[in-house]
Amino acid sequence: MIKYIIKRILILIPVLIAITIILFTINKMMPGDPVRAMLPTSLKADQYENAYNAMYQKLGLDKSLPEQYFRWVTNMLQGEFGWSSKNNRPVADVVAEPIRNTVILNIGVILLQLGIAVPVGIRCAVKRGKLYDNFWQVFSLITWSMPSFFIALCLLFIFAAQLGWLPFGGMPNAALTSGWAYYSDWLRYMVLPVVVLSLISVASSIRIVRNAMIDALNQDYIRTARAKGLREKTVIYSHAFRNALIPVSTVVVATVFSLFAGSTITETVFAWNGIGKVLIDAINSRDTMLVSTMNTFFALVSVIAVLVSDIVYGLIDPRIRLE
Amino acid sequence: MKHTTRRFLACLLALTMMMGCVAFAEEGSTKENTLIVGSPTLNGDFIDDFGNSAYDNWVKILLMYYCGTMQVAGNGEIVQNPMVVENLETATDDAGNKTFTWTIQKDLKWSDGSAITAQDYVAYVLWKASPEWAATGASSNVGEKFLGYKPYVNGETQVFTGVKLIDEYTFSVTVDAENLPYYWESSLATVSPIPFKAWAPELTIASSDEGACFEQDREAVQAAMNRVAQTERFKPTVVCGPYTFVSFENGNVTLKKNPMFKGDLDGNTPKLEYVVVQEVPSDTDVDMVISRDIDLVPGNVEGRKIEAAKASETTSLHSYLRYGYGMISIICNWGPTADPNVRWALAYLIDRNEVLNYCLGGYGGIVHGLYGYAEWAYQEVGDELEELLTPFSLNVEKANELLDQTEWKYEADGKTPFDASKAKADGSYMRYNDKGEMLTVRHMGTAGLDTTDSIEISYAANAPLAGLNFTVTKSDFNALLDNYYYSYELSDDEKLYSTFNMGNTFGNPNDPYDSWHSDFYGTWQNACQVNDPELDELIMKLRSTEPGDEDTFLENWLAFQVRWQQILPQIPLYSNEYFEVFDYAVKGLNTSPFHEWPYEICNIYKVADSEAAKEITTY
Repeated sequence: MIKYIIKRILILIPVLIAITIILFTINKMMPGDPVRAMLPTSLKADQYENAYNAMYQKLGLDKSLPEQYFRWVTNMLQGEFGWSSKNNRPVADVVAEPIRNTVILNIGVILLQLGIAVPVGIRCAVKRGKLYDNFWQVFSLITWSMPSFFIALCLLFIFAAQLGWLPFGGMPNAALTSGWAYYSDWLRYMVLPVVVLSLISVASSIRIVRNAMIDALNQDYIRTARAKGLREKTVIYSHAFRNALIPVSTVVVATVFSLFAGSTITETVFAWNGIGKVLIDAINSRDTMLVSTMNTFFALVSVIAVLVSDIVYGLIDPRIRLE
Repeated sequence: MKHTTRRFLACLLALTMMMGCVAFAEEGSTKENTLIVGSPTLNGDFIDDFGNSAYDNWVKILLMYYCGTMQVAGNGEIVQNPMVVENLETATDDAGNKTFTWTIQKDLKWSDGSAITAQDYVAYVLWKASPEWAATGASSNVGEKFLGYKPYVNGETQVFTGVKLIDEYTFSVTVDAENLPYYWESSLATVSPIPFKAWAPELTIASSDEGACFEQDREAVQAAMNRVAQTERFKPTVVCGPYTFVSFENGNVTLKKNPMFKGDLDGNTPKLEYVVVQEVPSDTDVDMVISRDIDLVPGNVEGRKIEAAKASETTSLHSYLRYGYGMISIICNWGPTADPNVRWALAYLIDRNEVLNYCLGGYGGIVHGLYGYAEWAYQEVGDELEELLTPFSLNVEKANELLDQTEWKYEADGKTPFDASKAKADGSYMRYNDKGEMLTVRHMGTAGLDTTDSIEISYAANAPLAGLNFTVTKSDFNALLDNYYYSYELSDDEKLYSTFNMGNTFGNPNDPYDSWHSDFYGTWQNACQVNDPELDELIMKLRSTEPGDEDTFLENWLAFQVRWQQILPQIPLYSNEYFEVFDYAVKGLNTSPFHEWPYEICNIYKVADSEAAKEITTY
């Protein structure tokens, strides 16, 4: 197993190098000039030219593309993620708070998603073809098919505009509230975005759990367990669910690693200061360094997620272990 | 399972309700003494010279604006700040350089309680004009009109000739003769302070007859400026405005009343303890005012939002016409639009009232030249101006007449004269020149903007009737910048687009020199690439009018407006009517085209709901 893990990690290196080259190239091909986008238009032509040249050099844009690439990669390896042209400050400073906010939001989403998907998926499999199962099948089809902004606007209309129970969007303010009030504010602001993101993701999760459970429940060992007179709960949770865990583990691992992935649309609709919103702002502002760094980070998280997923397979099912 | 679900939902509901009751739990901050202003995303640059964000600028105004020697009043007039200035003396030397000697009041204080002295004003110029400040990524044009600016900003000398520290409360600045006479002369001499001791305790200023300078070497100056650019820029600690900085977290800026603040132009100090600029979703920002989650959303232009606010019983509105307009900007030095007749034909081929209704729900006005309704010159001679200018509206016949005077007056063979009666809306009969080139104007607009869509609709319907092929490309703002502001850098093959829909807010003072004079031809400032000697002459006459000679100024202003319209480098589409939408408990919000809400902050207060009443007012 250790040998397998080391081998997989070594494979990651060329993959990541290829990804960084592709991302860097794509970003450099984007039209528009990041320096122009960041300089104030109040400057006169000659002042502008001086400021432009100074910033052009500061961002390292006067270097050749290979030089820029190697500088960027080596700096990243040393923990320096470059300079955001849109924000005129280090990339690390720009993304620190949004990443924290996205992780907090996604923890809520994961808890709600798994909290609903696993029990509902199991129950759907057990009650296959019945009203309960049909309801969740239709429900998941609808939520999966609807765009997130539409769900968001519907919920805003009901819970914020009509009932006034929850805020339209934004984030809590630590300067005005403290202690319990501050944390409760977090929850208030989180409810709607968490529900929107959960509704979208829960649909596929329910179906995966349901299908895995149906497969498991059709196995001979389940019939044997029932023939032995075991309680139905024991059959379902101890025998069937454990064997259904492999596909479910994929969902769980992917979900956990999606902690860092921002949702551009939902974060924008709810003015949640998360990483998805930062990314789209960066793209619109031609902030190539910020976009490249963030996409590299997401790529790294993705390949690690795949690696962990494979390892978890092996742990759950010894038959899959690759010796 | 059913019981568990019910219990879970009940707990969630109870938790939500409880949470709704505990907001504003901290002592000191209540809904009554806090103004919450909804805003799009802030960048987080809270000292001048960094960033372009108009929303960051709100915060900058509240923190630092009020201590300048001159200020813009609510009516747009640039006036001396009586809270700051004790005395002003002016003197002109033999070379024509004019020295403004300012004596400031002795009771001005920074938010940390230390005195604001003349040294802080001198430091402001030395700091912002220095090459070390530019090296931090800051961009400033402070001091550009002062004597000795160029050698100082270029790093040739550390002494700034045009600035002098005279005593603890007196300093002078000297405007270079080459910038004089200048009608808005007093605006050149305005200076603000920086908290010099707090920002750079290790630096000192020396002043002599030669000018002022930092006494330390460039390395020490650079180190201090780097520190400010990396710290104070994001969390200003010492300020002179009506509010102090508390925090910027999760998109929310929180400011607290500055007890040391002396007052605005009228001597008023803030009435509200806290101001919060809170990032809110733009689609639902007005709904948040209506639901009373926030107090104010400034500058609304969308008819849907304005109607919703008008319908709400707990929401007030105050409106003013923008000091500027939305327009079609035209590149004047290449392609078909280099011919003024083509530009005028374009003006006659768009229904501006339709655009106004489509984009703004009818909330706005239409102007025919480079002016705003609130501009004092327009207020004085607006009637005369309207008589002098040509009021253009959709007129295909007129467009055809004008295009017949251009080289595109033939059919496809390049010989047969174009017959307007044969032109059809489907574009099957177009204009060509004698080289067989079709009359084509390529427009670029920002994608997702109603203005871009309405321009496309209008020209698609009307341009073919004049034989003009008008195409619209939708792009993002950065591509627009490259093709509009920097068209002069493009090669002939890259020059595709010659018209753009943009917005323009006039400066104060509204000096046309920087944007329309041929001194800036071939630079981004003169983006339309206008090169007209007659206009140049009128611009110079206008700006060099003796200060105070209003009659001559207005005469020159009218002449400039007429010539500008003849050239027509921009087709003004609409002047937006900006609506401040605010909670009915908020009072004293009398914004104008020259004074956004942060300039009015000392007049704003809140009343109890029992005394609150809905108001709809206009500037």
